[in-house]
Amino acid sequence: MGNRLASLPEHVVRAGNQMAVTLSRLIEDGEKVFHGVNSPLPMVAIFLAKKRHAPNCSLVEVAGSVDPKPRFMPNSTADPELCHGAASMFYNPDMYDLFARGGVDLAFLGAAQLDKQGRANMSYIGDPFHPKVRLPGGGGGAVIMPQVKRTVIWRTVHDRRFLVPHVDFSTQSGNLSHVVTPIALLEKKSTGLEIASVHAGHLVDEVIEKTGFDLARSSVVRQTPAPSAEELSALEELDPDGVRFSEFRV
Amino acid sequence: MIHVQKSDPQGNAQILGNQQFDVEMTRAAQKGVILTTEKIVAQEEIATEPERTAIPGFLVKAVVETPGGASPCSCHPYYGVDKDEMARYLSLTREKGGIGKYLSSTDITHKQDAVTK
Repeated sequence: MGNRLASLPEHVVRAGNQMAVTLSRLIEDGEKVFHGVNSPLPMVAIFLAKKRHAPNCSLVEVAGSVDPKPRFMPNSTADPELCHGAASMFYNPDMYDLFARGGVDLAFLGAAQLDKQGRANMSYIGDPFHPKVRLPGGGGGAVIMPQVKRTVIWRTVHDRRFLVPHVDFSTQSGNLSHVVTPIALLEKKSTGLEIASVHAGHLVDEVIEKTGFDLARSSVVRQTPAPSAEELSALEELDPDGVRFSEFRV
Repeated sequence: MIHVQKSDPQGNAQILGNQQFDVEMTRAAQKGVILTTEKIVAQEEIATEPERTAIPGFLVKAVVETPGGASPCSCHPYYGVDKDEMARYLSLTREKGGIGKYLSSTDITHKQDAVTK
């Protein structure tokens, strides 16, 4: 167990493992899957899915390698280790072409702000001419979200600054299926985002309280299945240094 | 359907020499790609140089090992165009049903059944 893991608070370990398995379970076998830059949690989740229930899913790394077999879990999703064992490279122009043809099943993306209808802001906070925060921009998100079959947005915080009534700017939208946070799994329905399940140790009221838009409260809210012993040991084997926790603010 | 020089059983394929429009066609094929290949090699061999892979396996539905599969056309660097055979093909297929005559009078090497994914 690396130093990082030993010094992590228990609630971060619990949230990180829950998020990794929740993201992983959204992958179906045989799917073509993509994740954005700086995405350690989705990266680990995809490798977990390949190891367990979806051995035939294809991971196209954002840097271009397909189905790499890294000897260790790199900290960065741009690490050259992510070329090790890959049998092909599928670079950005080909990847965007594949998105445009409807050939990609699932993309994992992040967002700074997200509203109930699934509009995501990656551009700026505040006044467009004098922004309070200049965000990095959407990368390929504005063409990925409308063209991929399903988008899953992940974020290691769940608060009213992230889940907002109105985004300051709509950088990208379309085909959102789920949102995975440290406390809940949200699902996008025709009426907007709603609670699909709440992670163990958290309450529906807490999720509603920490969400800046109205979350319709259905009569029965499930608890997200906790990570199984098999999932946890697979995670430990894949990612002994705890790369999956690196996006949590400790 | 694309003929390549080398592919692994998953359809990760290398094309030697010129590529014409083969790569674009594999991307555009809505129902997927069927590969015929001079030889099937282990994935480990392909994975030593993934940047040489022209067609990623996730676009491929099936792989058929067919040495000489491009004949009487060419397959660099294994064989060039067989002009006499090409002339025979052209003369036979000028008439309706000629393709059947051509195929039944041609030795088609077929090493194994398709590796269907």
